[in-house]
Order: sequence, then C-alpha cells, then structure tokens
Amino acid sequence: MNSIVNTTSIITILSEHSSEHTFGFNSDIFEANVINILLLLFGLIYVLKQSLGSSLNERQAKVLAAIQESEDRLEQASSRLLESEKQLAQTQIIIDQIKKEAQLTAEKVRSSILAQGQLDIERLAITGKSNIETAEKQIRRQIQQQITFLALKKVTLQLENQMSSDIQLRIIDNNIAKLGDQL
Amino acid sequence: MYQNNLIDFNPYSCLSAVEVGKHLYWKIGSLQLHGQVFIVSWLVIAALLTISFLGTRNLQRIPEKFQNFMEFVLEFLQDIAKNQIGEHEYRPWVPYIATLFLFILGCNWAGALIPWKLIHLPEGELAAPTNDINTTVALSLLTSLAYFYAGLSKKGLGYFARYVQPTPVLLPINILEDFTKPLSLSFRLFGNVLADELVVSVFTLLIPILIPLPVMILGLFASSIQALIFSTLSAAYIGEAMEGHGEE
Repeated sequence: MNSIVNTTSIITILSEHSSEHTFGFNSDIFEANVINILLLLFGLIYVLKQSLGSSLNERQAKVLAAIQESEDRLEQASSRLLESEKQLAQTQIIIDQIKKEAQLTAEKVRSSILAQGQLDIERLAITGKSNIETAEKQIRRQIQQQITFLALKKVTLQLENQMSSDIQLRIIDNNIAKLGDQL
Repeated sequence: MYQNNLIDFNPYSCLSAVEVGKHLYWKIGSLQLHGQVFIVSWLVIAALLTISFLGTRNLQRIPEKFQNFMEFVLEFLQDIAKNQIGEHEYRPWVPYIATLFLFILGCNWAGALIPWKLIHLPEGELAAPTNDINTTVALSLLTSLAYFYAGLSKKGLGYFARYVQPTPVLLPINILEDFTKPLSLSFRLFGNVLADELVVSVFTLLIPILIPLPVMILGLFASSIQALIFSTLSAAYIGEAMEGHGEE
C-alpha cells in the first residue's frame, strides 16, 4: 500500500511540475484573444492616425508659421537696427562738423574781437597823442603869448623908463634918414 | 472507512478547490513580490524610456513627425499641470505628473492591447500592472507624498494651518481627507482596470470572436480616461497644497 502511495505521489509531483511550473507558449488562440486584440490594435492605429495626424499636421504648420513670423520680425528688427545705426553715425558726423564749425567761428570771433580791440587801442592812442599835441601847441602858444606879452611889457617899461624927447627925436630922424636912402 | 483509504492512496489529491486568480510569486528575503506585475512594469518602463530617448535624439528647429508628436504630448501634459497647479509653480511638477500619466496609460494600454495570454507562466498570468491593488496604492501614496512635500516645502510648518481653514470645525474632515485621497485614487484606478479585464476575459471565455470587441474598446477608452483622471487629480492635490491664502 505504501509503495503504491509513494509511486502515485511521485508521478503526481512530476506531472504537476512538468505542466505547470515552467514558462512556455500557450497556443490556444481563442483563449489568448489574439484576433480581437489584433483587430482592436489596427482599429486604434487607424483612428489615431486620422485624428492625431490632422492635429499633428496643424501643430507642425503652426510651429512653422510661428518660427517664420519670429524670423521675419527678427529680420525687420535687425534691419531697423542697422538703419538707426547708420543714422546715428551720420548724426554723429554732423555733430562733429557742427562742433568744428563752432570752434572755427569762435576762433574767428575771438580774433576779430582782438583785432577790433587792437584798432581801438591804436585809435585811442592816436587820439590821445593828437590831444596831447594840441594841448602842447596850445600851451606853447600860450607860453609864447605870455613871453611876448612879458617881453613887450618889459620893453614898454624900458621904453617908458628910458624914453625922453631927445631919444624920440633921434629915433625919428634915423627912420627918416633910412626912408630917404630908399627913396 | 474508505475515505481513510482514499487519503492513504493519494494524499496529494484535493477534492475541490476554488481560485480566482494567482500571482507569480518571487521571493526576496522574507518578502514575496508579484512577479507578473514587475515583468510588465519593466516592459512599460523600458518602452517609455526608449521612446523618450529616441524622440530627443535629433532635435531640430522645425519638428519632424516624431519630434512633433513628442512635443504635442509634452504640451498636453504641461497643460494638465498648468491648469491644476497654476502658472507660476507648475514647472517643477511636470515630470512627476507626466510620468504618472504616461506610466498609467502605458500599463493600462499594454494590458489591453498586447496578447499576454500567449505567454504561459508557471503561476498566474501577465496582465496590466495596474490591476494589482499594490501598484495603484503605491502610485497614490506617491501622490500623497508629493502633495505633502509640495505643501511643506512651500509653506513650512504653516502648511498645517490648512487643516483649520476655513473653520476649525472642519478639522476632522480635513484629516480624514488625507486618508481618503490616496484611497479613492488607488481604488478608482484599480477597480476600473481590474473590472475591465475581468469583463473582457469572461466575454472571451463565452464568445471569443468579435463580441468582446465593444467591451475592449470601452476598456481602452476608460483606461485612458483613468490615466488622465489620476494625473489630473494628483496635480489638483499638489496645487491645492501649494495655494496660498493671498492668491486667487
């Protein structure tokens, strides 16, 4: 009895082990639901391709458009930048020119003012000199006049002092004699 | 009398047994892991990594088809985060929300669209990883952790003032919310995925050709909605934890 029990138990163990405790391939297609799954897969791929395809294409177009737009704006902005840089350079040149001209004008004005001042100084000097000369002349004349006056006065005094009727008669006789010589 | 003999004859026979489903158990130390969940999860993770690697290889200004698709997906995910969390703070959370969405969607659709039953496992069978309550609870606990981290890192300990907003009477409800949020998230996802799988397998068992298709289509649709809901709700919880009283 025991040996029968042992052999049956051994056989049971071996059979159970061989059929159930391994990995393997189950070829019962119906149980594995392969047909339905394949149908489902194809249906899913088809539907997804349709819907996702259109939205993906839209998205790609949108992205392209956005990239294009931003590139355009970049170009515009950079061209505007170039232009304004050029304008800046031009304005800079004009500014330099104006500065130079202003400097020149300032120089000219300075030199003209100096020259003017020079002329004025000379004129003033001449006027001063002429004034001095005039004054000098006047004073000389006055002095001369004074001297003459004094001299005359002295002479008159001398004459008055020294004049007598004799001297007077003599002077008159001399003069008549001179006159007679001439005639 | 004879039943004793019967048992003596074949002690390894059992007279009856009922089982709903089995897991493929892997032992690490004293823990047992559900191997089938890990296998499919690894496959989904590998697929996601491959796609993201391939999608970012040759980046050009004008996107080609694959890059266009990836950017489309990214915009969609960013929108989810932006709408829930707000314009100023959504950026750091986009990776988390995006990974949640893509992982859950990948798991659910992998479970529904790949004929896993062709592969025979010693125990259990391969299916969507999210049909295991452990997966969904793990994901929702991650979300719990995430919104706690968000609240604490933004407000410090003042985050706990939220529990008595607007009135302290609501304190027990607010505390309860911290438990019901992960609970509802996990159970919603788990229930949807497992139920869909069960219905599809029962239909397949009964009438294998064409009849399960409407249910499978519904399952695909519902599982993608569930992925969206999970990630949107996670983002909403994160946004709610971060919002201040001064804003909005």
